[in-house]
Amino acid sequence: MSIVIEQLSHIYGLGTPFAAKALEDCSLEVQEGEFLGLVGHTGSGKSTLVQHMNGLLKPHSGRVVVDGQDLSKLKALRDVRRKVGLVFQYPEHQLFEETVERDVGFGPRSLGLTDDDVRERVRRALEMVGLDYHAVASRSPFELSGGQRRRVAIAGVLAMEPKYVVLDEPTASLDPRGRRDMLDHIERLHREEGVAVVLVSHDMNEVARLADRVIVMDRGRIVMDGTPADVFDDVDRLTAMGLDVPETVRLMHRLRQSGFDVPGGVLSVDECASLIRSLLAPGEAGGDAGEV
Amino acid sequence: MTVCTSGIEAADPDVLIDVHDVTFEYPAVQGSRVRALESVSLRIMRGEYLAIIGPNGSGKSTLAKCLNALLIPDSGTVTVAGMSTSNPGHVWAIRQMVGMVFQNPDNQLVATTVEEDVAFGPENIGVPTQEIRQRVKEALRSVGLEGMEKRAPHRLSGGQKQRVAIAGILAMRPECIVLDEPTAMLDPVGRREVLEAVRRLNRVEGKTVVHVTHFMSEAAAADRVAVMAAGKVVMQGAPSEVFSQAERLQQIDLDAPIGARIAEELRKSGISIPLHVLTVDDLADYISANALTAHRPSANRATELSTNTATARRSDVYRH
Repeated sequence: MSIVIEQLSHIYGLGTPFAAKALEDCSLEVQEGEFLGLVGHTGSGKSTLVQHMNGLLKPHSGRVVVDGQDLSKLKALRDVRRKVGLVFQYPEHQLFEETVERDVGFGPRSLGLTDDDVRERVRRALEMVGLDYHAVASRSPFELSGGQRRRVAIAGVLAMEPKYVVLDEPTASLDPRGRRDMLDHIERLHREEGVAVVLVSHDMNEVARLADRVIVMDRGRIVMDGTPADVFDDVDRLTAMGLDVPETVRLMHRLRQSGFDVPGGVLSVDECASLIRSLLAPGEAGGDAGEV
Repeated sequence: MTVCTSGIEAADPDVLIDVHDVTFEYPAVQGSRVRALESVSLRIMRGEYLAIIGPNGSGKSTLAKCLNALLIPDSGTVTVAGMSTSNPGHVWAIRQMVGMVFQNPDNQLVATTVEEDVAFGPENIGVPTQEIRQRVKEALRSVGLEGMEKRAPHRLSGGQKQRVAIAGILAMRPECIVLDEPTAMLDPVGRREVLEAVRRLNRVEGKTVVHVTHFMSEAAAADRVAVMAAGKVVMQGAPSEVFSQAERLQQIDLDAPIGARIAEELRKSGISIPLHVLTVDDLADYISANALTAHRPSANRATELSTNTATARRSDVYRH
């Protein structure tokens, strides 16, 4: 079971003088239970691509198949939308209900569940984003802090119990603590609930830390697809596309440029420290390197 | 590092903004009040680049808004070039002297072309047309947007929009620019553009800059960093003094920049790395300059490390 995207192309404003090709010949498979990082310059097509994953946008050519079902052949997309939860950028702007309970319960209520079942889903969804049901359920979403509001909005998607969750820059403009909390919840969702995650992010440090696999987009095309170590070690190529690399990778790259023999795939702070220890004090660092 | 003191000597000509013992409360639900600033004292020197960091809710933005009389302290004083923000007669002079740029560029642009947008401020204060032209031209040049005069602001990139907002402030010829998380909503390219423009204004044009940010790497490039937590200034000093206190920063939920964190790890194992090494670029420079006599790591060790890396789960490796 997976989301399969085959030779997808999408043109905005087709048939108008402003027609712009947003996606060109993109192929990609998102496996059940994987953690995929999706990176690329603004305008590279990331958001357009993810909006195809639950049928929000329709391809102009190519196809999208979710768990064996070709979206173009489906009469109703309801089941697909339940299966693939899409969290937009700044999702807190979409909150509209009077209470957190009603907002998060909006989706489940439309499924015809009993009140008790809806409440249980709301409780679980809030818990998954680190909010206490009793503390927030009866409050207005608009009384909460920005970070809490965003978590309520994400809970609204999780309450549909999706198998795949696509998050478009979920940490944008949060503070360091808010970013860390958000990523911890996403990681737990993936690890404990087995939900497949597609994380769209500009923060390469986050992607390097969390993703099993990284997709890089450039001008509407998928140009790289591999493990974080493989993708991020191609510093020159990423830089040419106007992308950052994780800071740890930049450090290793700079050292390599100064003539040090630095292996690829060094991504964490601890790995960097071990490696530098071995550069500065050779002979004493073997043990440390082994512990990484 | 100077721990924040409230003793202020009078009228130092190098001090542009003097925040003295300021307390500020917001009205909250049912008549209660939330204290956002508590006895904050801070001096901003002419020509300096000051970064203010702190977690959400620590009072950074409230403090920033006190600097140009958008908010008036409940007690204590904010004095800009000798003028108190509490005196309504000074407010317009203060706002011309201290301009403010906010987080969301879309909320700050008002006109249909870039040049009209930049001209909006000077027009409002009755600057003659000929001079407005001159000011708009200079302001756009300062932020690297010459030639964009006729463009529609809503069709620009985030980084360009934010630079238009900065140009609009510059056209008022302020001495000081206060930026409240100006890069929070931008992509990496936009962030770089804005940071370069701001740094240039400070270094080349001598503008005083107060930069509120969540990005520690941005704060590392400032002359001085003030750290806020729970409504108070809890640390201030050069970036090297502040960011070398990793544990203290962690207590208030802030991280040191990654370069400083790696340097800290190295110090723990007895390798002395100077405190001014904060960013990964600093660290790369330092190692390259100081490891020339050391041996290169053997090929064996390198292989061993990369094998370990490949087998360990990424998330396990990164945590600690």
